[in-house]
Amino acid sequence: MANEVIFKHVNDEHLHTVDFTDDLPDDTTISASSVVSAVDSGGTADATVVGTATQSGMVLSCPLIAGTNGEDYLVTFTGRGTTTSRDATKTVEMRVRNKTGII
Amino acid sequence: MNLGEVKDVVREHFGRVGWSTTMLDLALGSARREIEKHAEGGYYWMRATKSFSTVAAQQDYSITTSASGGLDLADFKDARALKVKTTTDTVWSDVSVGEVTQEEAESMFATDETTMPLVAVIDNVTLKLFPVPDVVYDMKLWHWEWTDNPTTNTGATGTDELTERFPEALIFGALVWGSEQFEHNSQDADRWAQKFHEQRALIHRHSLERERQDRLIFTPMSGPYDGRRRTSLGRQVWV
Repeated sequence: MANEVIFKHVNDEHLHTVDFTDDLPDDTTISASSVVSAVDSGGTADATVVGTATQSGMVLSCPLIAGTNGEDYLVTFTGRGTTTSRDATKTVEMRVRNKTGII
Repeated sequence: MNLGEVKDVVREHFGRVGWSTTMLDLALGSARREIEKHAEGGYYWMRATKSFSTVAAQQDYSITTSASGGLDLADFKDARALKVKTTTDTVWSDVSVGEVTQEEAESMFATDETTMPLVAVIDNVTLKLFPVPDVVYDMKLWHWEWTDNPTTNTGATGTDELTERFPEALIFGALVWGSEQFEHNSQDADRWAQKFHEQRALIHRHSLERERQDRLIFTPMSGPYDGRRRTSLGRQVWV
């Protein structure tokens, strides 16, 4: 199950941040190898819904953009510790809905 | 409705974030299977055809794989009709399928008899042709296939009849699962099961109406029309 669920309008841009401090206790920063990826509800990778990820300390930030109305995307934030090279992941289920009653 | 809307309606009953999407997908898949299991043969959206060729001197053809001239129909449910013709012919001939048991077929034809197939038997996931084809023939199978829920939100394009036209059936079916497994509320589960049953009956009736228009001929067993009983064998329902 996803760590978090968010609802987003197709036209919205949602800047999502994940702090890996608790998940990578032996690191003080995450490296540039930290990535954000997304799959649609059929499990197919879809890079169009994630923008450019940035790292700052132990925080990985990425704008979640666009998407198809009605789709549920699973967005995976993978933080890689600079010192240990260990990976930690957090998943966000992004439900793209245009009907404002749902959001 | 489209897939996203179907999911949203189910989620509203359990909280938008309470029930995992993985379990919701499984519940919707279960609802679809329950609907299609109760079809007598299949529903109209399960109709499919498959063209294939026989292999000279080969009797058995895998239905679910492509091995040795197999049909490669992973979602095969049951056969509706089978036709055969020579590769140069333009007219199909009937091959009896689902009407003769394997035991009967084996005693009807000599083991070394080879010619154009007349009878086919479905033995588990193997299609057996009697007599054994002597050369390559064109074959066409009309059959029912199990279907899956759309994996992406494609319902809006109208490609999936069940999601598009009978979403309530999927919703009620998923609510039975959710009530039992997520809420452990058997009373609610029974209530949704009743509604699910009603939807299945509606689907059954609608499909039967379409099937009757397309294919079935009701013929009395006795009375003034009983002389027509010998026409179109295998296409009639005796009432």
